[in-house]
Amino acid sequence: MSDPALCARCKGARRLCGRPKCPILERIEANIKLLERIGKLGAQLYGLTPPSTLVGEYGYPKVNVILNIPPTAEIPADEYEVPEKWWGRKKLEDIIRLRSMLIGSKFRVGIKERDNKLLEAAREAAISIKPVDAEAIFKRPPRFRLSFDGIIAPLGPSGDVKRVYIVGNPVVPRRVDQLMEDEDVRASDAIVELYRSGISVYQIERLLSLGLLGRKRDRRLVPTRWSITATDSVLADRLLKKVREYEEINEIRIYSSEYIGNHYEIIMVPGAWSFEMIEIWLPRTIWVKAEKPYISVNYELHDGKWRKEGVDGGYHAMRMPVLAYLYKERRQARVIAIREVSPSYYAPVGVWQVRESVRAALARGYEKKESLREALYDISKRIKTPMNLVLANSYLLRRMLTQEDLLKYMRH
Amino acid sequence: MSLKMVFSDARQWRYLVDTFSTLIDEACFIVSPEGVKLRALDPSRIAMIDFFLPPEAFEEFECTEETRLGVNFDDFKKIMRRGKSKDRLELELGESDRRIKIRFLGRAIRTFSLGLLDLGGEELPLPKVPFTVRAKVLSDTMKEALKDAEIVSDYVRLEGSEDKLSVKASSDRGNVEVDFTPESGSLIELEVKEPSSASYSLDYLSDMMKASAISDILTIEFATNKPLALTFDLPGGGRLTFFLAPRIES
Repeated sequence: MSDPALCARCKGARRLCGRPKCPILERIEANIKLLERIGKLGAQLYGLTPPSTLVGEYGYPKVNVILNIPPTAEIPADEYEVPEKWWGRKKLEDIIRLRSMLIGSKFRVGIKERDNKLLEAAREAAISIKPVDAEAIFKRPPRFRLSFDGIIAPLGPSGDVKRVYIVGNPVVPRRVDQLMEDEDVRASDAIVELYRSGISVYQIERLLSLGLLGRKRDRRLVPTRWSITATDSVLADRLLKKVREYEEINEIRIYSSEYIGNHYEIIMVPGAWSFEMIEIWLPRTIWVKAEKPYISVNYELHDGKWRKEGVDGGYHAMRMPVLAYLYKERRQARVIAIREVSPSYYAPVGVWQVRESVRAALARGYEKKESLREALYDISKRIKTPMNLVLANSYLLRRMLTQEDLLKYMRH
Repeated sequence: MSLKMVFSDARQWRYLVDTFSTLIDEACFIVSPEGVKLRALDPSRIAMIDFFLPPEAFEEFECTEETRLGVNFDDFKKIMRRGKSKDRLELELGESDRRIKIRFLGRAIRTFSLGLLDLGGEELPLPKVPFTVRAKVLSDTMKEALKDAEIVSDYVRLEGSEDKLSVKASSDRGNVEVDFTPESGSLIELEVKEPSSASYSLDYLSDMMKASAISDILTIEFATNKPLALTFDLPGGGRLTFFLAPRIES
């Protein structure tokens, strides 16, 4: 790995170095001791799934589908997969521990396959908004392991299943039921409908990934990693159509939050919608061996199209909550979202962390500033990266500081 | 109110609409017996379009009273992109129509209709700028010069002196300088009241330069740290001017 930026761009997700498995993630996985071995695993597992499912991407269009079931009832089942409730409450260790206690019952299936009993069972569980009793019978007992990924939440041990039974009754909101039944509604419209009716994005992602939304001929399994980004970008694009018509905010605002070694600063400036993500990985963080921080930037202008190559799930996970917030406020703004990651974020837990942190920062309310310079000065005291380095990497901030507008020449 | 306009080359309109759509989402064409105009600011109010085409530019031009045609440029663009090289273009709005008919007259007669938007608003004043440099250049050469500059930076510095117009860009990636002189053949006219220089965003400039497909010659006007005006002469005495606010490095 000669290019120090390679790992930061890849985040273990795109195999940019050409290896089958990310060596950095492998090392993290080896170093984290499973705090509690859950006792010996048998070939049979009975428990309440939160529900928690995963569709892999390896081997696409034949993919692994996993239904996660915790083997113990000591922890309430609905705590294993609730990012919106983890935020601010669970420490990094807690999340890793929770996830390591989920046992995956795994099977392989074509993305358009029909009449697969295992898949039907996984779907039946996935549509529920409450934990469901499930039983899995493995081909051989699952082995202990834990794996990480830049986009999705950590994954515990898993094994190939022979049979899966959903024993309990899934609780399915009416709107979810209707949209699954309706095979004429496009997936993007279904996503928006569900979101409007108050279904969480995590539930929507799950439905989309299991091929339960969309027009009949378009339905297929969607790897979880893709479905997360798709849900964020579909929702954000739809919200943006409205936001672009709203009045501009009339003051400069800063919002901030911090969670498990990730610090966020969000600046809003009066003006037509534009958005920039500035993601900073400090030295000695997961992806950065070098002594210099790695800064990745992407931005969009009023048209809502990102301008640089290599946009990833993190960009969409920041943009979506920002647009949801502006939509609720009926305002538009120019937005700069800074994420600074410190070494204490020693294992990646998924982009939900980004989405929830941005949400939390916005929910907490803003501090009003007199000028952009004042806002940047304030922020420079809270982040470790020198502001000059941030400015040198940013496109929108520099533009805000230097670009005039025509209005003052139009007042005669 | 009803109107009908026939234009001999559908492609020219396609280039125009393409150029407009990179800067604005929606705007109003105002059609009157004097011709067609459009004046609009981009959403960030950094750039302005001021467009005018007289009846003489058209093969056929029928309009009895002022009519406002509010369009969404994304939709308009999609239709205009269907125009082929030998097509003529006809725009028609019947009495009390809510949609404008866009017709390509070529090997077949292809008719599209586009919903009109009710866009209110009074006419925008033009920016008032005491320009100190005025230069006429070949639009292709300018387009290339801006592409050269894009290699190193996202903005350019224009400098006008007595004998040349320069386009400069610099960053830690390197420097680029393109000179337009009377000898090089690309500078057709140069009027300099005082040596001047100003910086402008390349994003906007390259969007505006898309209009070079319709006009070979381009007039650039600017002044130190003041907005820029780019004017393309259009057939039949029409013109298209873009204004662009400067970047001020502090």
